[in-house]
Amino acid sequence: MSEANSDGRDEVWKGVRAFAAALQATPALRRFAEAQERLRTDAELRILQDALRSKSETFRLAQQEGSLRPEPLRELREAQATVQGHPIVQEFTAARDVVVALVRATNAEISGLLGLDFARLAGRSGGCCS
Amino acid sequence: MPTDEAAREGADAEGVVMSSARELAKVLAASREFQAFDAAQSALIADRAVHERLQTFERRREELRRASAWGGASAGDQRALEEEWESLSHAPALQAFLAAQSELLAFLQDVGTVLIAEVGIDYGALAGSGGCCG
Repeated sequence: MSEANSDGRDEVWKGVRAFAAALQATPALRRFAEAQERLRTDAELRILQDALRSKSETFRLAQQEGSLRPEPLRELREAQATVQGHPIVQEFTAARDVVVALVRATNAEISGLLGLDFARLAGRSGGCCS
Repeated sequence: MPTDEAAREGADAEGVVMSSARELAKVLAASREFQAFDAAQSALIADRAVHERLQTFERRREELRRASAWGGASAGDQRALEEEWESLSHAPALQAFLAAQSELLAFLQDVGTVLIAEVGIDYGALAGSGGCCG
C-alpha cells in the first residue's frame, strides 16, 4: 500500500476511471450499449410496446370491474410474448446477461479483496439495510 | 479467422477488466476511508466489553425480528432493545466505528456514482446487489 499518499483519493479516482474504461472496452459492454440503443429507438418495437401497455391497462380495468372475461388476460399474454420474442428484445436480454456475468465477476474480485460487498455498498441503494 | 480474433480480443479485454478491478480494490483498500474503517473495526473488536454487548444486542435484535414475524415480540421487548442500543451507542469505540462506517459508505457511494457516470451502466443493479430493502 502506498504510504506516500495516505489520503489516496487521486489513486481511487484514477482507479475508478481505468476500471470504467476497461469495462467499456470489452465486446460485452459494446454489444450491450448497441442493444440498449436499438431497444430505445426501434420504431416497430415501440409500437409493440405501446400495444403491450394498452393491453396491460385493459386487463387492469377488467380486473377492477371484476370481469371474468378471459380475453384481456389472453391478449396481455400475447402482447407480452410478442415483445419478449422480438429479436431486438432477445438480443438486449442476451447482451445484458453477458454484462451481468462480467460485472458479477469483477464485483466478486473487488469484494473478495476488500472483504465487503462492493457493488451493494456502491450501488444506488447502498447500505440501506445495515 | 475473424471469430478467433474476436474471441481473443474479448478475452484480452476481460483480462484488462479483471486486472483493473484488482487495481481498484487495492487503491480503495489504501484510501483514508478504508484505513480508518479498518482501524475503527479493529478497535471495536479489541474493546471486549463493548464488542460482547454489541454481539448480544445483534443476537437479540435478530431473535425479535424473527419473533415479530409471527407476532411473538412484545412492545416491551422492542423498547428494551432500543434502550440497550441507546446506551450501547454512547460507547466511544462503537461511536467511532459507526462514524467510520458511514464515512466509508458515503465514499463508496461517490465511487459508485462516478462509476455509473463513466461506464453508463448501473453497476450495483447489474451485480444484483441493489434494492436490498425492496
